[in-house]
Amino acid sequence: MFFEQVLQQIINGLMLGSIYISVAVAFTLAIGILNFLNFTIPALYMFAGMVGWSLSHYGLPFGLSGPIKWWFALFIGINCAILASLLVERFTYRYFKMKHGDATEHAIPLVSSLGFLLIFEYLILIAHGSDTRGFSTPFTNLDWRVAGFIISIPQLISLILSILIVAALSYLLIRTKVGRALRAIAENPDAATLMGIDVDRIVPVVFILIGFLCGVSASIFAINYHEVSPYMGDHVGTKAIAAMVIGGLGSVWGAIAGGLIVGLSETLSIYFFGASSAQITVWSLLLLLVVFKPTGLFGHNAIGKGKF
Amino acid sequence: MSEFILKLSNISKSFGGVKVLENVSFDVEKGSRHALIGPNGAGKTTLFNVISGIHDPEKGTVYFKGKDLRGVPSRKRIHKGLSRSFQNIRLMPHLSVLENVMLGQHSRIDFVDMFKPLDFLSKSSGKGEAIETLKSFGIDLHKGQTVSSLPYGIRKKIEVVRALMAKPSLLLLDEPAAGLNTAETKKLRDFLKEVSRRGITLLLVDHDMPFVNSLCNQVSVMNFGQLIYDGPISELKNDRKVLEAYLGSENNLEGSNA
Amino acid sequence: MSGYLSGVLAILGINVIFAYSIYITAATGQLNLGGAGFQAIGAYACAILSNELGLPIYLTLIFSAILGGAISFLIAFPVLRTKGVYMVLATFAIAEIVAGIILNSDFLGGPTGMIVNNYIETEVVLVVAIIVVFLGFYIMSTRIGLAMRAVHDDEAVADLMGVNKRAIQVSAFTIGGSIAGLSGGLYALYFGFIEAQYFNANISIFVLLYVLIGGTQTAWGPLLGASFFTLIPEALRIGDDWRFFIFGVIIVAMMILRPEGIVTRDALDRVWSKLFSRKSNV
Repeated sequence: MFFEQVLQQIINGLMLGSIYISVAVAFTLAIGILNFLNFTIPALYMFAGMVGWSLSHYGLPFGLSGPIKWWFALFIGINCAILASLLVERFTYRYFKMKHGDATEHAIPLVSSLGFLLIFEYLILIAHGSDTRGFSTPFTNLDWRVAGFIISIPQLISLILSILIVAALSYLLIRTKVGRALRAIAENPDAATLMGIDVDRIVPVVFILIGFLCGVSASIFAINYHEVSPYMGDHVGTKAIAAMVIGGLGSVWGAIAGGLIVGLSETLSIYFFGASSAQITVWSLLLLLVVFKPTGLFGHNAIGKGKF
Repeated sequence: MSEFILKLSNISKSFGGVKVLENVSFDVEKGSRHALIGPNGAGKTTLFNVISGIHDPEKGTVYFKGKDLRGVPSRKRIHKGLSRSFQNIRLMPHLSVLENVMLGQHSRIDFVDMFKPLDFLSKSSGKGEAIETLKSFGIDLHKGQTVSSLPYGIRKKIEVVRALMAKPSLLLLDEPAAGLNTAETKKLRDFLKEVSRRGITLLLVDHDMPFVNSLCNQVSVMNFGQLIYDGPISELKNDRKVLEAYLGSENNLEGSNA
Repeated sequence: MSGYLSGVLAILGINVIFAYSIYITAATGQLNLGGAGFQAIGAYACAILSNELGLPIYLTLIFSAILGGAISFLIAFPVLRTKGVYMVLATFAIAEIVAGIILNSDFLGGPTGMIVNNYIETEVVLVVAIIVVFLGFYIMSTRIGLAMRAVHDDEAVADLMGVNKRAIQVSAFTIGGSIAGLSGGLYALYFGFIEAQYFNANISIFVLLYVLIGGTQTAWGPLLGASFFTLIPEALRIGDDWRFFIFGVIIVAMMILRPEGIVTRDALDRVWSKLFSRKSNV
């Protein structure tokens, strides 16, 4: 009985982790390629979810249409997250030129992204208030019972979908021309420019991917948990940062492992030690890793050292 | 005269499998003006970094004033009288001229004096000395400006003065004349001769041969991480190996620098 | 003093003190994104000492500062092994762990929070704030301050100049932690109620932004940054949501137009020389 319960918790943890995966990959892309701790990511995630809800509840703004079907609303939500992410690129990277290379200067994109975090979060709060909103889809109570365990089918699909997206991304990074350019920028932006890579045109690709991953992840969340809120990004964002660190900064596959580990440690720690213990477990794990093994489980040495 | 302030014996260093320094040995005589020259990538700056403790050599020993510097962290080498400037100017961009120069005094300041406000107790804190030194070298304080806004030539000079403020016995200068025009180079030469007269040994890397010829009395030549010449500057022209190394390279021993 | 004005001034004082705690670390080039954690440590220390031991106000405040400093000192060694983005993450993690411990501890009131039995007036907050501001200016005016700024600009060269970078950074982090603890103690005593949820990530983010927008080059930065972002919204009397939205816009704009912060050394020197020349003309 005990083992069965624990096993059920493990299943739940893996499912929860699937939500974190895409967001963790978004964080890890920004750090790995641009050396940029992008704090806008939780806001983009929330933005996609709330835009999706607003469209499915009210329809297009200014009364242009009635409520929109849930799947199309989420699709538009994802695109809005991509556009918002490109806006961030415009104001963090496009105008940013290193002058002295001192410590505070390295932090400029990070600080800008904190600014955008506030902008998106409070824009939504101004528009829709702080309530949690129900998001209804046709998928309710689609549980699959296998040998006494409950597996939610949308969650299972979400997990598989997350892994497929990351696999596609990994293919993109390794096999395609854009991917090679991105990796060249990750190695050394100056050398990449010399090699004839148009950095200003390639960097937005990273932000499009970030927006896309956040949007998809928010949609998965909305479908699985039937709700969205202006604060949904905070929880997922911090967990995804933890997942990124555990997987190793800049490692796409590491982010998958990290997301699942965080999801697992969260549910197991809640199961064994009570509701609010997860925070201590996850962050202690992260702190120990950052201090004693900053490369995480799969990360590279050079990334993020001494820079932001 | 055979008292050596710096003795390098069999220094080797490699980065990622590439040998940058290979068994480099030479001595720097006390009170001399010693040049270290060689084509780009010969390992001169790496050798400076080994001497100042930024890199540990894989093999070999650095003796300073007869003592092995192994295990002496880079931070403590300035206390022993070893001070340096950098190839690409590394002044603190957000400090003023005076503050940069005063930072050079850091190694000589008592613990208690560290806690005295600089603006009120200037005499005890070395501020007066810093102002005097700048004046004696003809450098304006440029009050109300951080160094990042000053012209290249002035910053180059400030960096040398900052290194001098530690009252070193050996001053390492990495390409002090690079990027200066002829008039500025002449001024720098006279300035360094004055420094030398004050009893400070100079070891400098530079590509500007007329500058090196008119300033230094000893020279070591490096090529591909190896020492190929070490001796008085007057006999450099007659050395076959040096001529071979420089043949076809952009650095001309006789004429102007590249 | 009207109740409203005195309330605003107290918040201003606490924010200014808090800003200096983050500034001292930022001046050495290290970003502490865990300010709320250290503030929480001070606040809870103060509350426990008042409630359980009945210590007088000044003692509880001193203990808040000491505990904040002691804990910072202990974690400074592992945390300062990290750099850049890892340091940001490590400090962020510390704040989350502190909040997590408080939420899980019945002794500390858990999620329901804690009532503090002692109370201070606005004047106390302001006096402490003035002392902290003076301390900030004093440190930055000494050679220690010079060395801190040197480490901020170029660690490697500062090291070659004989600056003990590690000692400087550990001391700055410790002093920062104790000032943050002090600000937490004042918060607890002024508001009379504390809860873990207040000391959240947003608080850490805001205070870091006050400092960076104010400017890390001079000791004026945190004073101006904290005052600006505390007083302007009060003066404009805008709602909380709009306040933070505009705050975000200002940050993004500042990072593009003036990333070194409002107060820079160049600007300050220009102002001084203007004031000075006017005086000599009279």
